[in-house]
Amino acid sequence: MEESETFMGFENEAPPGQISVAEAAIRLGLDAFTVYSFIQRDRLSPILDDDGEYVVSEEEVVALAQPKKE
Amino acid sequence: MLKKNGQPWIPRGPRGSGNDLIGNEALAYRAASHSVERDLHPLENIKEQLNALEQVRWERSNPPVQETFKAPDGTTWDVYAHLVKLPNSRILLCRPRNSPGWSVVQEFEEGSAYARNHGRTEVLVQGQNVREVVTNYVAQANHTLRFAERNLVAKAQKMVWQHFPENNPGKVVEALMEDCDKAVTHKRSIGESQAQNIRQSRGMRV
Repeated sequence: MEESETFMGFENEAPPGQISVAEAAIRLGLDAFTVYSFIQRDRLSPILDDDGEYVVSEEEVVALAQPKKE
Repeated sequence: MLKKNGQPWIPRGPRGSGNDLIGNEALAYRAASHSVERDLHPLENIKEQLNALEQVRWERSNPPVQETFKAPDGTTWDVYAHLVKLPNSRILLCRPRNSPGWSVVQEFEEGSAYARNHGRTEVLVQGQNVREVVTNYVAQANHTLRFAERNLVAKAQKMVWQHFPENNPGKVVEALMEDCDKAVTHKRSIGESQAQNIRQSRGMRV
């Protein structure tokens, strides 16, 4: 490995249908801390991926970004 | 980057502790650390703000109203303190006009997808005693910080093992875990100066 090598761009891809907390924050126009608080308040369901990282359901995030159903 | 015997070198811990990262370990740590830093920095910033709140004594019986906002249901809310500034929202200490109860409210930025569809404000904590309400919010927020930090460690661990499996990943991850832990548990001294500023700017009794 060379010292001058750049290391950007090795974000881990979440499995299909799941997105990272950071990605969820971007889609909702919020920050990651708020998304974590949504998980703790059961607004979003946490999914533990194979590597031990919590991700969220893309479908749930899309639903949260849409108008509430009456 | 520092070098030792011509090799990249990141000293860690007491001298001779064996915690220094050398050569490819150091390069792997630096790469992963850059990536984690982006997520870690906002958490550190929130922790500083929470530490500052823990220093404030919320005892003043008639604090001044700083601003007001109107909720969609027509209620006018008086804002007494700005508790935490987040990247796209802020946490406010409020009271509905002519009501004795206190609330911690999160106000989202107007244009966000979430705010457009769920409204700009959400009550996070409510109660009659201002100190209890703020304390409960700080406890909740600290719990959230811990959750975020643990998830960040898991993410870093995954990244290091995937991209640097040959570079003593266990040791690199241990160093990253230490960084993450420090960020959300760092000493009060950082928060103390901010608490002082809040107390001064709000004229709160201490």
